[in-house]
Amino acid sequence: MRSYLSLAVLCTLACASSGNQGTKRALLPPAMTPTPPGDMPVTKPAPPPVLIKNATVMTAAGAIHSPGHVLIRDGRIAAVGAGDLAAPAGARVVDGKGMVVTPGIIDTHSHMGVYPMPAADAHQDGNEATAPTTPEVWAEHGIWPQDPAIARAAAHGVTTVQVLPGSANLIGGRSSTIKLKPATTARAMRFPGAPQGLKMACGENPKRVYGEKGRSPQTRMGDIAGFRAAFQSAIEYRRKWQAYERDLEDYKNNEKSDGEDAPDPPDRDIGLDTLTAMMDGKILLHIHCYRADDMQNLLDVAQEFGFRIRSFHHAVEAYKLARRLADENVAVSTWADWWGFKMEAFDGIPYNAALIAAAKGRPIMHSDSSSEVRYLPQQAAKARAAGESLGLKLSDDEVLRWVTANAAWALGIDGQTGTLEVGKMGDVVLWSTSPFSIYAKTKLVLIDGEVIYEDGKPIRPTDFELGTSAIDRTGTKRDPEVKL
Amino acid sequence: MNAILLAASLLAAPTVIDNVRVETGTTIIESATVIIDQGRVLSITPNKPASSATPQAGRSNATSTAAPAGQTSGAGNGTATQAGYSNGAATQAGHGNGAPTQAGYSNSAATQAGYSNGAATQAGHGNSVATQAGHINGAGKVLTAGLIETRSQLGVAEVLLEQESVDSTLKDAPFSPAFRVCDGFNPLSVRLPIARAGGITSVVVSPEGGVISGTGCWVDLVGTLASRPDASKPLAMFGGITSRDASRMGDGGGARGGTWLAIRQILDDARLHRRSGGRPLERMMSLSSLQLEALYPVLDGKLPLVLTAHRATDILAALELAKAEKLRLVIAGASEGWLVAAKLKEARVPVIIQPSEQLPYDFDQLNARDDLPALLERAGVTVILTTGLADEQNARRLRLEAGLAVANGMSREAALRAITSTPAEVFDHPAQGSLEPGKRADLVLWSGDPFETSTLAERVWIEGNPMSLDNRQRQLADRYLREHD
Repeated sequence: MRSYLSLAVLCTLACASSGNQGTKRALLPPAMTPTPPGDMPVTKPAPPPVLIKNATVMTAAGAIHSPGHVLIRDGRIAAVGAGDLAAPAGARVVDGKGMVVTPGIIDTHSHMGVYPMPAADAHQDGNEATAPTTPEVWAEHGIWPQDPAIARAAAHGVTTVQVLPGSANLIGGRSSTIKLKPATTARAMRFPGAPQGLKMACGENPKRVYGEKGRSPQTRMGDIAGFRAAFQSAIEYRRKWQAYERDLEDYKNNEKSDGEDAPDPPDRDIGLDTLTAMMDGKILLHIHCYRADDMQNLLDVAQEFGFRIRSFHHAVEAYKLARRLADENVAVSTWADWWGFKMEAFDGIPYNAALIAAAKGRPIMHSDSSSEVRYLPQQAAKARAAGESLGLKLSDDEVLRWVTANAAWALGIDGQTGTLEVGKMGDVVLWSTSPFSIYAKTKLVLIDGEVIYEDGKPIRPTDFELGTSAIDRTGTKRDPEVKL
Repeated sequence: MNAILLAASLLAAPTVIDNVRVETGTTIIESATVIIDQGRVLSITPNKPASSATPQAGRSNATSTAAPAGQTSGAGNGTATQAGYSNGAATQAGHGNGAPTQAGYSNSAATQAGYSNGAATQAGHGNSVATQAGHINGAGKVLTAGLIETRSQLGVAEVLLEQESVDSTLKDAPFSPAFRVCDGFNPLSVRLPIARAGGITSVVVSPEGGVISGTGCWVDLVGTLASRPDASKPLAMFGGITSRDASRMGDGGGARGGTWLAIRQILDDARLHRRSGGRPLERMMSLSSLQLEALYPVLDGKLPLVLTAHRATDILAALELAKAEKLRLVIAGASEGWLVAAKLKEARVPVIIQPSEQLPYDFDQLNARDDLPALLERAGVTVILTTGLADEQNARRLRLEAGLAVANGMSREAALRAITSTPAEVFDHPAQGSLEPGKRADLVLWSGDPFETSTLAERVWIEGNPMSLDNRQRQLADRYLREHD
């Protein structure tokens, strides 16, 4: 087998959404470089400009303008600041008096689409629980775009989520960061340019799932051994490819003189492609890990094999390791007050996020729930109230970052969204009042400048929902007896 | 009422909470003086001409308060006859920590002689029921009745995934009317003080799983061994007829008709068993004698039967059964209850619902809507709000469930009643759940709007006794806060 595979190939194979496939690809026969399709091109015309004025504008970038304005044009934030702004021609002007504007809410931990509603055995597509390490699977391939939870989350101001495989496996597979715009396929929902994530899980879940099957891991010892074995395989795999690249280079340099066959490339392993891409920093690592000592063990594995952990999820004990996590620049996705449903969640406390913030770490409120995703700012507010009862001071901007900018950083999309700054995507929410209030209602939700939800207008039903409700959200009534 | 509490309340001097906003579920008083004595609310005195405002729902009732003095008191210390709270208020000689003995407090007048704000923020550790008499400045704060969670596994399920710590569910026993979940109740559960710190003062401990799961009981969250409930005095029978419950039936095959067949058979057996009066029975019974006897009070319409049902047709079927059998029915879940709200109202069947969970989780709930609480309220249905219908327990979120109901159109008053007085009435504890003179002083002093995310419970009383708000989670925070310093 002769080919001109280069080192860039590994990234090409692994970084499906990087869009950075270079020029070498064109030189190679397609069959030699199987590459998953990239982001779908946006074909819609840009939505008309929207100017929100007279509102309190919380940027999540330090500034709060009250009153202030935000202009969204060509799908991006074109202006943001204090006071008024003249509306450009053709702009829709929204008077936000008494209301609050924030960046779109981002959830780092969702199973929407892979565990959709209504619960159906046929739609349980989130855990490939057939082996403890399945880095070869992608959440994107399990997402049912018709999940009614998606539009409901968007109506509550959520613009971006990371859909992850479940936590049955030590290494569950690749995550997909999606925008909550209605679409017929998950690929069409992809957040353009977002790196994929890799989902791993430590602690109880993998050892329970496989222990019950009489397989490893059955203990936390087995958990860590499983990770180390997988990463050792990845290192050896990478070594083979590196050796091949060297041989190929030598061959190319000597080709004319000795006339031997070119070296054969090593067998490709789809799962190890994922692991090596993560180790090279092209896929971001998110680990479901509750306990401080479990997190420490994973930090040790990361050090041993030379990779970085982007964030821990469900990290209810992060407060016990807050300084270390801050020093390592590992983000912490947690809940406000879930705790105790299993032993590794027993030490979960409402003060967790505030203690992480106090240690100069990066707290994030995540949901892991198609219900909870709708109330992330309120969760942040509860966590703040708990922190303040300890005497910790937290600003509005800081707490807003827990559900916007910090989440964007964890997903590697902070250059594109997560704050209200000029040039970022037009992912913007107008709230009836402070988004931290239990009474907050969304008035307007924009994704890429497009109105996804507007108060008083029905949520667009998914295909599944058409005709399945007694009164569907388009107002169609199927039973004349039913009264509202 | 247990001995320890009774003793404590007899020793305690009256507590005066002044300048406090009072929300009763029917009225809002912007500023009032509330006196707690002998375990009861002695008086509620508006501080200025009754001005009431309802910040969210806009429905305000200007009248100061409800029931006159001399409420029936089940607990025996009903000596606190009030002279009408509008003019009766206490002069309290000693401010601060002293526990002045006061003669004739019911007639004296509350001179608001600038007592300090020193009513210690309750960082008190330990479980002591210390008598904390004195003045509390309630300025900027809100006083409500203690919250009541009606679907709780507190004390019977410590860590859900650890079977040894879970006593709420009988496995493989879809019909267990004689199962008394409170036989397993542990008042020393680490979860109790955590729920209490969220303003919960009483819970209905209920069994989970099965079609007829068993009986539950009422528990005040005092957290002492003496407060252990008497499991032989059931509060209600619990069960479920959702498709999930049906599919757990095994031999029932999962068909709804199979569930109803089994229920009819069991009720018929219970009736026959009772008629036989111990004589030999003419046919095999579906359940043992103890199991069938446990159903007698249900058949008599004395013991409420709380059935979880979501689909509109399931609710209708339950209403039909209750009518035919003269059962005292309560529906829990009721995601599609708004479709049959008129029928629920007509049958006077209360519903227990969870506002945050109105999603099409399964095929029973395709018509779930966020404004379910408001739609049911508007139709005149008796509504109770709960945190307890999700898979995981977190009772301290109850106040936020009420807030979400308000955000989605329920009136503020009804939302508060739905977590205080309504569950107390539906579950036969009328002395509790109301902030009214003569009622039991199960109270919470909130730092602000009790439904709001930023609010904390600052003080909690059960039967007039100040409860510790310390708990394991706060202790963990304190430990690691120090370690970071």
